[in-house]
Amino acid sequence: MRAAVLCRVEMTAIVTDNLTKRFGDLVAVDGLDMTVERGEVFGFLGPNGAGKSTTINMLLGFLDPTSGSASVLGEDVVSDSIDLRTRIGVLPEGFSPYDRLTAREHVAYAGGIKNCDPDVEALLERVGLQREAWDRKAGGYSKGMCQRLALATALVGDPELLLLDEPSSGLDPEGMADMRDLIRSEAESGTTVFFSSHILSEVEAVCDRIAILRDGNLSALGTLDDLRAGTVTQVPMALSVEEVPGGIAGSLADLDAVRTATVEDSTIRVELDDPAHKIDIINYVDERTGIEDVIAEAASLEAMFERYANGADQTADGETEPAEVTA
Amino acid sequence: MSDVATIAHNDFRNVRRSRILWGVIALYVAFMALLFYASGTGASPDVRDTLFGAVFITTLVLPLVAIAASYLAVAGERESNTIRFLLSQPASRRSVVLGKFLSRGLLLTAALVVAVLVGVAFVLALYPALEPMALAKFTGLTLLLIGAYVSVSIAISSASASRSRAIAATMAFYFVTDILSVINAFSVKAAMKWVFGEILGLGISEELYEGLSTVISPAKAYVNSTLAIFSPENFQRIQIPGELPFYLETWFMIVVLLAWVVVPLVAGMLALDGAEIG
Repeated sequence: MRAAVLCRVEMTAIVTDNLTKRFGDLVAVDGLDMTVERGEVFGFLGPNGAGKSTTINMLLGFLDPTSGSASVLGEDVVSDSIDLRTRIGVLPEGFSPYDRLTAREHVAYAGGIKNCDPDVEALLERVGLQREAWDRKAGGYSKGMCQRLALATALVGDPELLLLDEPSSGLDPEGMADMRDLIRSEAESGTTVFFSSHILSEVEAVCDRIAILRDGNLSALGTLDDLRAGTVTQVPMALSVEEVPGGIAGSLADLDAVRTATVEDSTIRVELDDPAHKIDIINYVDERTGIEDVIAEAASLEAMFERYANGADQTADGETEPAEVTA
Repeated sequence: MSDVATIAHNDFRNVRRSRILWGVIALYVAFMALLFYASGTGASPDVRDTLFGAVFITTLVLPLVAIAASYLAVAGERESNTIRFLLSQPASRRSVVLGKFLSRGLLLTAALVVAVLVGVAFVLALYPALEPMALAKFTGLTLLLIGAYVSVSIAISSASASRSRAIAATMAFYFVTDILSVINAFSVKAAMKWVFGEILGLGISEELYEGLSTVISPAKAYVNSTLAIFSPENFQRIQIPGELPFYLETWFMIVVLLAWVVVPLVAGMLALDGAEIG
């Protein structure tokens, strides 16, 4: 029994147990249960406001959980926060450098607190910060340079776990590619990588497993293949009509293609399993009343994810959009 | 505890590159230089006489410099998000507060040392005698004043999530404990006399009013502590009627100042410990 427990501690990088955070009436994280294994690259996906940053802030000890608990590398996030932080590398959300310190000084600063002696130049080289900037004050850096610097400080002390909060924000495509390469090479050397993103392509490209957070709770967790195979998606659409036919909600809901149907004023809302059925619904309603407008609803995260994962890159109104979750 | 030294070192490195801060410090040094020069070139220059003016300038100006140098120490990091970098490292929040106090305190100490050295240079050139004991006492007591105002500013900064709150609270503290405490006619002491004496009709002695208003004001405690330099025996302008109660003696003023260094610092640590960095 005891061996099993030890084994579990050894194998897991992050465990959250019914982790909850409330801000007044707002429940930012709502009973989150999640396990990240050691050595994996774990993508933490969700729209802005889903609770990603709040979760990470609790893991780092910036916020105290309202209830529930979490541990990182076996260390409790509340009681062992300092020990925990010596063993991880963090790229904090919206990293902002000290305006009057140079890149070298930032890396040395992190080394000083972590009580290790980092090879400053090797780290700055590794994250691709141009050499001319090393001795310049970071106040003049671009957003992309700041992110590279942040990554260099995260790598100080060869951490067992890298915790990257929106690492690609502010990076150009080349920077994002560099970031992916670095994540892969860190993973190959055995480092666990946990990173959050609201950009699907980011996560898909490097992650072993993905969690999708919505409204403070997991809406999906698994490998990409799991999610491709198993995710039940909803495709929302709305029709604005001249006059709502009586009982239309009920009769629509009886159709095989329709999961739910609701009526509100002169708007009929339906959720479908497959976007291909949209035209059938339009025809069905058109036979019964005049349609004023077909409203393309913002797709839910899962639908968006599903559509991207299936290789389609067309949105409902035919315009190509980046695979960025904007739900 | 090594993280305290690391934080202090890097914070000092960051803050000493601030031009605005150097400007404020230069202002204080310039005031002091002007005072030592003007008194030194007047009729019969005397170090104690000059220090009397120096205490006046220091009481009004140096707390303001201390506040300017410290009020953003933590609140500024929270507003600009740099605190996320700092707290992502294995640094305790208490070490952050302590490190900031050491760094900003050191900066103010450097300003004081420069001002005193400039003063000493003028004394050597223009005055008949150096009076090293008086100068040393002035330096030591002023260090306590610096400690008190830096500590309070750091504490307020630690309890403030934004720059605007930090500046509002530190300036309010300055006005109440400095301007409104050391200027006698319109002072916290006069207000206390009015409330306790006139309204509540309590028969409180003059000494006790003085003691009470001193305990709540590091600036006043500093001014009263300089009795160690300007004792009635060697300084004509100071006259004390009768015996002083213990709570107005220099040693007690030093205790008050030390309390103003320690208590706010502890409160600041607790405030940051409990803060939610969202």
